[in-house]
Order: sequence, then C-alpha cells, then structure tokens
Amino acid sequence: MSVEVNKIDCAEPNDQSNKIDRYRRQFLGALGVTAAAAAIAPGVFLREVQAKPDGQAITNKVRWGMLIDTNKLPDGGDSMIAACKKEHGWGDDPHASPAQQSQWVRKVTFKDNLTKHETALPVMCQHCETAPCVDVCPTGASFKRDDGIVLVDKHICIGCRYCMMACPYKARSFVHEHLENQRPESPRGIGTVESCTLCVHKIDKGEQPACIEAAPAKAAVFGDLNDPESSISKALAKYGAQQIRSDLGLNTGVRYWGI
Amino acid sequence: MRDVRASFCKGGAVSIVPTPIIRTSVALCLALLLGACDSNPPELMAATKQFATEQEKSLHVAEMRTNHMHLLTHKRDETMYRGIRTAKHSLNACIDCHVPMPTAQKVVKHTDAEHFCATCHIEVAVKLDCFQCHADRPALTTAEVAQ
Repeated sequence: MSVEVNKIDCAEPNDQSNKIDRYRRQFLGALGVTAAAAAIAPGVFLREVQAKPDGQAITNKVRWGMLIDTNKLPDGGDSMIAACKKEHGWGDDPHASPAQQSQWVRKVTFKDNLTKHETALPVMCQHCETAPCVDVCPTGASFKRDDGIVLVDKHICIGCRYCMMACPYKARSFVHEHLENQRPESPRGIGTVESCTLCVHKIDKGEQPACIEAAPAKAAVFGDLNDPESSISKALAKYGAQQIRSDLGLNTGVRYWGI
Repeated sequence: MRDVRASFCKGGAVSIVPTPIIRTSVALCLALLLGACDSNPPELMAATKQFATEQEKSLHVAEMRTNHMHLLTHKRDETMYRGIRTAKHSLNACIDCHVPMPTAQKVVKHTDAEHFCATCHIEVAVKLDCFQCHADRPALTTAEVAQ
C-alpha cells in the first residue's frame, strides 16, 4: 500500500522569464504565498511514502520529516491538532487539570510588534537529529528510531520526566492517571511520558501522519528528508525553511515556512 | 510400647503425637490440596476465529500456554525499535481474536473475570500490566462509534 502525495511544483521558471520574474517568484514562494501554487497541475501525484513489507525492519536510509506552511493554515493548525487528538486519544483525561492534560501538539501564536502580523503554528515533537530528550533519559526509554522518529518506549519509561525538562519545545507530556479506552494503535498509560510519534503506526504501513492528512491542501508536506527526489526535499532545497530554535543546532525533522 | 515421635519445639517443650495420626492428617491435607489444584486451566472464552484442524489448535494452545509472555516481549521490542508489525504475535491481533467485540449491551474489559487474559491471570494471581496502556478489547469501527 502506498499513499499519494500532492506534488509540489518545483519546476524552474522557463527560459522566457526574465530575472525579475524569477526573483519575484522565488520571493513569493519563500513567503509561502507561492506563485508556485497556481502552477500546480491538478491531478499530478507522486507515489512517495512507500509501504515497507510488514516483516521488514526500518533502515537509516530514510529520515522522515515534515514541512508546515503557516501561511496556508488559516486556523493556525487547529484541524491538525484535532486530527492528532482523534488518532491518539489525548487531551481528555478525566481527572487531569487543564495544566496536566497531555498535549502532543500545541498551538503557538506570536505577533510581530512592528507589523502587528499574527502567526500561529502547531508545535509538536520536532524529531531532532540530536535529541536532548534522548541524551538525558536515564533508562534509554527515550530513543530515536533508525528512520529519525523520536519515541518513548513506555515499557521501560520510569516517568522521571527528565526528557520533559530537556525538550526545548515543550513537546512532551506526562500521564498522571489510570486511563481506559486507549486506541489500539496508540497505547498511553499512567506514569509514562508521551509525545508525538509522527504516527509511527501509520508510517510503518505506508500511510501519512494523521495531522498531515487533516491539514488544509498543500499546507503540510510529509516525506523522506534523505531522498533528494522527495517533494519535501525539493521544496526545502528550493525555498528553504525555518527550524524553531535553530540556534540549538538540533537539526529538527519538522520545518516551517512563514515564521 | 506405643509408637511415638517426639519433636523439640523452640521453647524446649516436648510434643508427642502418635504417627498414624500424622500420616492420616498429611494424606488428608494432600488430598484436599490436589483436589483444589486442578491442573487444568479454567474454561476460557472461545476465540472468534477457530483453527481448521484440532491439531493446529492444540499446537497453538500448547505453545501459547508456555510461551505467550516471551513471544509478546520479543514482538514488543521488534515493533518498538525496528518497526516490524506483523500480525503474528502482535498484541492487538491476539486481542482482536480472543476478546469479543464490544456491543451496546456488553463490553468486556480486562478487569472482568471473563476477559480472555484475566481468566487465567486471576486464577494464578499474576498481575497483568499490559492493559494500563494497551487497549484491552478490539477497536470499534467508525460506523459503530457513530451508532
């Protein structure tokens, strides 16, 4: 099984375009307003996220990543957050206070004081290449899979919450209470830390994360950062994108446009 | 002379009990114990899918009675670290077959004595941690949730 991904148009401007056109095009593209959007041929798909056979182990040839265009998220990512909640069942733990509720994705809003422009973006685990949570974990429960997905092995997590302290993105939550009615694909339980899994159960089947499926058209791209031919790599190579707290040098797997 | 057995207790007191009485009471206790310790496991809820032949079934039962915990632990690490998600030895696959689908009238949870896993685990008094995190029953399909 494989999933079809909308193709992001990355074609070079044709020869007739003059330099100004090309510059303008890149500038708009980088802003995420994307003149390129108009050029996307409808119905052009790339088969990108290949399903691996069930019995085959993951490899480090692949590194999964995500590119989110905040300019194309009119709701600031609410639809993506709702899809995540539905997929994993977090956020409604009956005895938790609002401050204790798990939050796998949070909506962060910031305002430019000069222009008064407000930007909202969904912030989840950024799946860092050099993840601080993995560094500090005393039991090895916090780990990075070969394909770059950072996970908590709840079988050996002792709930010390060092990783929550270490994460610069506040991406991790702790479950304080006995839970019932968990989703079969997404086990969650008392005394363990949890965070975005990049919908690892779906990726292993060749599907895309739930938030990507729920995002408005072309607002989010998911793919293999190691494959120069993947639409995410092409888009990143052409337009670039920001990492949150890039000063930390964590080489995050989740990148943003428009912040 | 009467056949007696003397044993010295901690306090130094001597207790004298005739052997036939000991023998009888030990035999009685053993009989009672054996009667209570039926080597057959309790009656289990039938699985949704049944094997085609009796031989396959008994092989599966024999293997799982002895090894299910090892297989589950092994599979758990394979899935967690290497992304191997075959149906064989997957906890979700076990549950889908062995625990009945929830209905409007009845939901079988792992705390119920009739839950497939609970039946034996209660009998042998072994605590089961899996379901603190894992789903203890098959997932409802979207249509059922809507109902």
